[in-house]
Amino acid sequence: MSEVQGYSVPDDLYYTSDHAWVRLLSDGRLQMGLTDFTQKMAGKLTFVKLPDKGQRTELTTPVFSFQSAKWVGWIKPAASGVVVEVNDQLTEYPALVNEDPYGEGWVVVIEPSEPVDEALKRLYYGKDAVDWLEREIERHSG
Amino acid sequence: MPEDSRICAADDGLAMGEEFLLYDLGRIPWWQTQVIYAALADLGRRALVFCEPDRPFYCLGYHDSVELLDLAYLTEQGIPVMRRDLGGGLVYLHPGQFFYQIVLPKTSPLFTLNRPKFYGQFLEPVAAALRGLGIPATYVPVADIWAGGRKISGNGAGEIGETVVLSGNVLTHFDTAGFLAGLKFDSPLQKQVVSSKVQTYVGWLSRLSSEYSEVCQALEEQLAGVLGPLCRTEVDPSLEKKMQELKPVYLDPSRLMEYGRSKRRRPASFKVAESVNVDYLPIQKAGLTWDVVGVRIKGKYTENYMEKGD
Repeated sequence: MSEVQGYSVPDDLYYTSDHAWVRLLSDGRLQMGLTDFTQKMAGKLTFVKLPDKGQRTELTTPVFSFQSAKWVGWIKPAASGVVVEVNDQLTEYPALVNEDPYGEGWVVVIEPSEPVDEALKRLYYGKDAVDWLEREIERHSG
Repeated sequence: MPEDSRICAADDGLAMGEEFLLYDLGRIPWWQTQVIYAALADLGRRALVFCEPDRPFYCLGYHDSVELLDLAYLTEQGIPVMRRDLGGGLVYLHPGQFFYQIVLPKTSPLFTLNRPKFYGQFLEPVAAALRGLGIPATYVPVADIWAGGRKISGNGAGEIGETVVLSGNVLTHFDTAGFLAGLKFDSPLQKQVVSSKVQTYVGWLSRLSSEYSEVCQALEEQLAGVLGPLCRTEVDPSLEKKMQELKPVYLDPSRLMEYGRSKRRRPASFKVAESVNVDYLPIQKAGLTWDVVGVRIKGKYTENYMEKGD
């Protein structure tokens, strides 16, 4: 687990440019959630609007929305495919994202319809993720 | 209009410019007050909009449940409802409330994901503008402006594509009775307490009730300090066309009925203003249901009311 200026960045995860994390599951599906940086910038989440299971995902169309501080934010999917799991706990208790962003606060699981390697190539990983986050911290907190 | 204001031609080329466009529209059709910023975002324009609705309507926050509203009553009365793209809660908007709306691309140096920083950079100048008009206004994080112990401006924000929008209002007038008439409550006691607290905590600037231009000029001067030089312009054919395209999308009843904040039942807490909630907390006692309503301020109950329920 890396830490960048107080923000946790697990080394085994991938990251989207809109600050979601992506976990490659053993069966090739992709689990997504909001990063520590996102939840700290957002403050306490008051709502997460989940997609329906079975909903198709397109790269340019957001897959879920969330709200904090009277602000509606959106996250685009890491891959084209189908939503196969959603974290229903967030409907009743969205602040779970703040409490455990990389664990219990996961949001969706997507079954990619494209080769998963292609999807992962579009994401930040490892040192690239850390370098990118440093630039983003400067941009949003500076 | 401030002396140094510029007037810009209204055409699509403006979308690529670095300057913010100023649309000072006055009173416009009610639905346009929520569609214009979505249209500007779609067109990729950076803009500051001033406007006022031409009739009362209810506006749900993006994630709000329609269950908050008594739709049968609103239909009977012919009062429209729509769901905006932005956050914040259900609001009752009507003539006499002035809106300021800021549309900026995520590539702008003013864009930040840090919510307090984002709101503060715009709402501090809004508060300063009101102070310049003699109102003792203070920015109250994260997104309110208060004066004399009352909320006088509510604000919300949201991402629309590659753009972020902030929309706020200046409550020069607020129709409390009209607001409450269209809402559903869990009990008459809750409605009574909400009514009392709205009158206590939601304020309005009656001195400015007919001074739209005075407020806008003050806002323009202050916000130009953040946004940079503003170019005054008008609604051009491409913006008009985009609004007409979006109108059926935003007024589609299915959009209104999206489950929003609750797949669960109507929330039992009514937010009056930042940190001021009226909670409905029924209890069973001696085989009877009692309506209990608590006023929660900054997380602590300061008043409780109880009466026998149905």
